[in-house]
Amino acid sequence: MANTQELRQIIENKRAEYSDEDQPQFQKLVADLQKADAMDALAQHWAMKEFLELLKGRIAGLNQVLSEKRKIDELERENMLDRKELYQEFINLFDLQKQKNTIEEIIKTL
Amino acid sequence: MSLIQTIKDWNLRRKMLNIQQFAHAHRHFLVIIADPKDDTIFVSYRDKQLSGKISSADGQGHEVVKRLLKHSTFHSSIDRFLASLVDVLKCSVEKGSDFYKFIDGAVFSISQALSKRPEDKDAEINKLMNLIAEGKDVELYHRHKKRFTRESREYLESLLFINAEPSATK
Repeated sequence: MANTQELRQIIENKRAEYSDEDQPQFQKLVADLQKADAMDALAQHWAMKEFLELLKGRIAGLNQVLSEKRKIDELERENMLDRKELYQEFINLFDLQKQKNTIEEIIKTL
Repeated sequence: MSLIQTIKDWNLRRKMLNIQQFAHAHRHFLVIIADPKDDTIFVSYRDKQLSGKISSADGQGHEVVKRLLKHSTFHSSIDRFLASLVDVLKCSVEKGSDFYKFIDGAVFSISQALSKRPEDKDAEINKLMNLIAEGKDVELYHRHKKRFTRESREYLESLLFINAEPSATK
């Protein structure tokens, strides 16, 4: 797994091989990498850490209810699943590893 | 999309899920929610949840809910709002006339209450205090006692020589 600096270097190296028409694609990748770095820095803040922990706790709570409660009506179940998805989306937003994986996958296809 | 916008959208979705959960928990109540930001209406009763958007014949929104809550534009917006409610509820005006009249009256009262600015309320309270102080009107003071702050009450009570409850002063 490459770190941010290495990824940036790979992008720069690849960038040189391509024509001007393809440059916006690389610019976007660099911007995405910068964004992921900024998100990671934000995720290190104690308030954000606590909030992310809270969301993880809620997901665990929802998982427990979904697996243990016998009678859940359809509407409630759907609401819980939507909620889980929503919380997970927010957590992923601040997950540098996931963001980097996505960028790495894109680089591989180039 | 910027981070702020992403978080705003995320929060909006979270709010919608909260509303759905609230409507489900109170499924025996008729719940009507209208959002002034985007003119959406959400109606729920017995786990039947419906939502719609207020739009005119030209398909454009006209900030109906926002205008409805503004006292000066209430009358020009109430018809469009009720028409949207009829549309979402699938209940004709003839059948639900009492209900629609109630909604009309309730929203009118809210818009009226919101139209009073804090400065106006302060001016009204000051006028009332002067009236009580000048006329030494104990009865008027007791009638509006709850509207005054603690300091104003203490000042008026010292002025009117009140130490006891209204029944004891009579």
